[in-house]
Amino acid sequence: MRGFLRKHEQKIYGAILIMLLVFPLIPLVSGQAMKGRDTALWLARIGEIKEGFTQGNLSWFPSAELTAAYGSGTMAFDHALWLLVPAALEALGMGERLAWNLFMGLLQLGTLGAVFYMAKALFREPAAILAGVWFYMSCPCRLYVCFDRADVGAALVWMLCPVLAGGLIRLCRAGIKDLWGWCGAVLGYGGLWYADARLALLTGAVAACCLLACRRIRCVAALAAGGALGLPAVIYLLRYLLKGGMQVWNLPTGSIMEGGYMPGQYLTAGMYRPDQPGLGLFLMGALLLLAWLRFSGDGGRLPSYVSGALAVAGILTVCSLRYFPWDWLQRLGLPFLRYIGLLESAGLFWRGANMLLWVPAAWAVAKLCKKDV
Amino acid sequence: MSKLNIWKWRSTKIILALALLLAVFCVAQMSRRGREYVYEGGTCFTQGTAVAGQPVYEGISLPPGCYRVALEYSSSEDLRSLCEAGDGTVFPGGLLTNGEVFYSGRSETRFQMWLFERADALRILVNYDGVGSLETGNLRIYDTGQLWTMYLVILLAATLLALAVQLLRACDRAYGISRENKAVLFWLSVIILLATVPYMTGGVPSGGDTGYHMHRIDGIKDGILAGYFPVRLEPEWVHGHGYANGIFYCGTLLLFPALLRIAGFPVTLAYNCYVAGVNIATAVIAYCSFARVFRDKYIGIASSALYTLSAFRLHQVLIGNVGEYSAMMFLPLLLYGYWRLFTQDRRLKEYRTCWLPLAFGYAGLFQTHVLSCEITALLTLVLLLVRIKQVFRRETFRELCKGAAGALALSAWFLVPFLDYTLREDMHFKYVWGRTIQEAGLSPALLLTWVGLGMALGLLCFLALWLSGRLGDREENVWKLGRLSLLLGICLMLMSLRLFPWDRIQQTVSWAAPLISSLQFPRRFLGWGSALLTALCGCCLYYFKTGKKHLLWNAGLMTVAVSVILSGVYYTNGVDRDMSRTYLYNIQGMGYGYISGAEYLVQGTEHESLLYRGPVSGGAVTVTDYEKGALRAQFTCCNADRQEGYVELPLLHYYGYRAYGEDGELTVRKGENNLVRVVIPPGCHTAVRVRFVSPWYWRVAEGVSYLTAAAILLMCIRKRRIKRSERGKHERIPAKA
Repeated sequence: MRGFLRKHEQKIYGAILIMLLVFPLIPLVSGQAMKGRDTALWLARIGEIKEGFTQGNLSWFPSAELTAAYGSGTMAFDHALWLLVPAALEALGMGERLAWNLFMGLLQLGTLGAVFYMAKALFREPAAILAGVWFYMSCPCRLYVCFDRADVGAALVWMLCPVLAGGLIRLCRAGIKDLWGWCGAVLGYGGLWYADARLALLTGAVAACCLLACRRIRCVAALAAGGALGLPAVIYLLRYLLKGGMQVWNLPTGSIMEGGYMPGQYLTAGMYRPDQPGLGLFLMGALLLLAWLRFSGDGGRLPSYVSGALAVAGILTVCSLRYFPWDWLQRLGLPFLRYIGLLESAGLFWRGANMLLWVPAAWAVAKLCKKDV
Repeated sequence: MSKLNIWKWRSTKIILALALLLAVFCVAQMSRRGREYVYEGGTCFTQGTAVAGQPVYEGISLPPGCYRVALEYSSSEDLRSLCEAGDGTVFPGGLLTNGEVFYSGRSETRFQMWLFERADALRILVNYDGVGSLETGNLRIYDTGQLWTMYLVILLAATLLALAVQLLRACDRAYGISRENKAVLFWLSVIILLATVPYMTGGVPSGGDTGYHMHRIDGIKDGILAGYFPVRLEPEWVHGHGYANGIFYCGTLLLFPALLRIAGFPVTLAYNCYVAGVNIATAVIAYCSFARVFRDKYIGIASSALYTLSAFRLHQVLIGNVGEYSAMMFLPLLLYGYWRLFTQDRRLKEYRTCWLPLAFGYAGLFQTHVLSCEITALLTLVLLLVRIKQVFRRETFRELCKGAAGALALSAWFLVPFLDYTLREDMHFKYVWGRTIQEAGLSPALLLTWVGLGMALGLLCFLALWLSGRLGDREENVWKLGRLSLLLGICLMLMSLRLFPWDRIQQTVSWAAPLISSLQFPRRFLGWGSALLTALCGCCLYYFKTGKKHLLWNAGLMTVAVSVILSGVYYTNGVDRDMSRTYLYNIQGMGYGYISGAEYLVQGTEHESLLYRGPVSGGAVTVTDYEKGALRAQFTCCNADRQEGYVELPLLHYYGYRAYGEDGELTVRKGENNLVRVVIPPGCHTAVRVRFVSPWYWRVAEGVSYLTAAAILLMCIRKRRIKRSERGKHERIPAKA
């Protein structure tokens, strides 16, 4: 980025970058990371892996006893690959707390790197890149997932989605031969399957639809390659969806509509909570700015990637509404019933929208910084 | 105008075609209206054994629709057991109803139920607490067709909105809407959206009086459906006895949610639409008023944001003080009216319309919240005293008189019955005038919270400007407004405090005691306080803008934004989060007994004993063929004795009930517990019809109000036409030259 910037700008952007590095690590240093709602569950899973590791009978997916003990059936599809890191750290003699904090810290830094990778693939303006990284890292929904909820699977999804998206954008823009694009897309999507198979399937479907809509059919191959990389998790999930079974895990198959939102709930602007899923003031303010730019006609035409992100976020938002007829879709057949049941709440789609809304927000901020508004 | 022909646009055609298609579908579905589903059977509940959710009918298959459920029953107890409907197979929110409680005096339920998806396993459930006898009988479910009327109304609103957007686009393309006007549209929309957020999340925040106001809405609906307009007594309230709420607490604005209820909207949705409507009106009126006072649209937007999203107003909305927050809509209008009255050039033709904002403002206050009128009257008195010289200028005095006459004429339909009952009836509210209000005052901390950062900084800023002598003589009128707003605003803030000696004043000034007592809460002063402090903030912004102090102007706007974020976003979120929510779909779920403080009952009425009952006869009178309707009843009676007898009906006696026998009118008087008592002369055998009839002078007052409203409307249209033609002339002159 140094090439784009003047000297005084380098200082400002450098300071922001340092802030962005330090900011996500605060909860870890202050000990807040251990107070997450699901911390105990994940620590138990890490313990299980460590035990399997030392005893030589490592189970790649959590046992039914563990998920039943914590009442988290959907965790059944979270592969152990990513958790090998904290398990290995613990096995090497590091304390549970330190290993957890270190792992979560690495996740934050990984997310920072990933979103930087995606932002650079999307934008040319340094202001847009920094604003984008800022919005993504400070997104209340992400902070809730990482610290309040301490859901490692979802935190990994927040880290890997930008890698996948960044890779696909590079492939779409630079052509199918772009090696970095391939790396990002394949590793990102493969990694997603090992992080949370349910969400990986959903992300893959959304990404494939987007690529088809953009007529980049060849890029779908990258998704397929990513899926092949995550084959163990793919098979595990598909076997359940198509054949059923796994009764011991007590997997949810009920309606997810109740977890959906009413329109006003999207506008609660405080910190993210499942019942008040606010976007946060920064993101909301930036989206308001975007709306004003569009309304006043100052912003000019929206670039295709911004309108695309807005459209996908819009569709995901509609899917997260309480009125969206998920029950009807569940009645289409058993695989649908099982898969939609696994999603647990329609509110999940709003999180997906949160992952995308930083793109138009960052574009709006960049427009403002250009002072051509 | 030819440039604005949006009908030729393809998108408009698509919108209209889609709307038409959906409308035809809804109308086709409405053909099912009146269809009846009958199920026969019966269940007898064992006394002493409580059961929860006992199905009395199961496996009912129904298409989507809005239904009235009529379950025959016989109960020995009141308000103990509940009938409701449920279906585990429809999606959450696909079946909306709160059911209905059983009464010993009734034989059938009649609650509403909304079904948004086809149900195949619908169940009618009974919660029985084991006390007394309960037996259920046949079930009839009527399709009211209201689901489709509700969808039609929503479709109509959505289509109008879409067409409005199209028109806006056409205007922009044809004439180019200025950036300033776009800012007005955009930011007012944002303000309205932020103010309405808590009402877009389903349900209603459970404020203290929300249930009471929902009863008012349903009362108006019931009155209209029973053929009464305007609705004076709510017929179903107090378990079908009728309650004089409409006489004392005007519900003009509640007509909107009542009409939505008639169209088939659930109670909470109708109420939420009302709140949204009030927010829209408040934001727009505040904008128009302040923008005209300060002659700047941006100051208008900022003032509208400060006022509409002020913590105090939002708090009133959240706790469900319908009267108070509805009245706040009109305060900026009054402020603007007085501004014009005292600052506009009297020689101008426009000065003759100064009275309009005053008339509408006062009429709005009369018809939303009488208690706010009290404070307004006090402030008006102060203002007129301060401006006594100007008041007695011929033109000003004439406009003032016209304003007062206009307000009285517009509100005559409400004021005449109000005064009639206040003077004639011995109402309960006259007996609560001894209560004290000081302890209900605010603590300084709460006052600061409700005043908010923006208004507090505005106050301090204006004070600093004034004391440092920076105001000078520039635009003297604005500074006069600022100074008066500052002084009155501070006074009102002090008067809202717990420290203000209200109790002492009440004890020492006997004539003021009932007025003070009727205020109930000193915080009510903050309504006007907010309006005046907003004007003060507007003055500060005006100073920055006209003085070309760009940095301060930007800082001022930023402060407004931060203040709005703090109050409009965080405060609303916080309060809303801490409050529970009410989900009331059909009013029967709440029962018809809640009347808050029972202020509008005749003194001495024991309302706890007013339940659904039959007629009671006195003397040797026998009653047959008894039928009870909304504020009416009919029966045949026979008095075989030589002495006068009577029939007492389950209707609360208020002035206006008339009874007609076959041979003429019968005497109606107050009976036991202030019920309607029809006197039956000796040896009389007659069919009797009793009903509530508005006295003739109420009808005359209504006529005056309607005529005044029509005259004002015609006058406005005429003035607009004249203005337009004058503008056209001006435009043509240079063309000729």
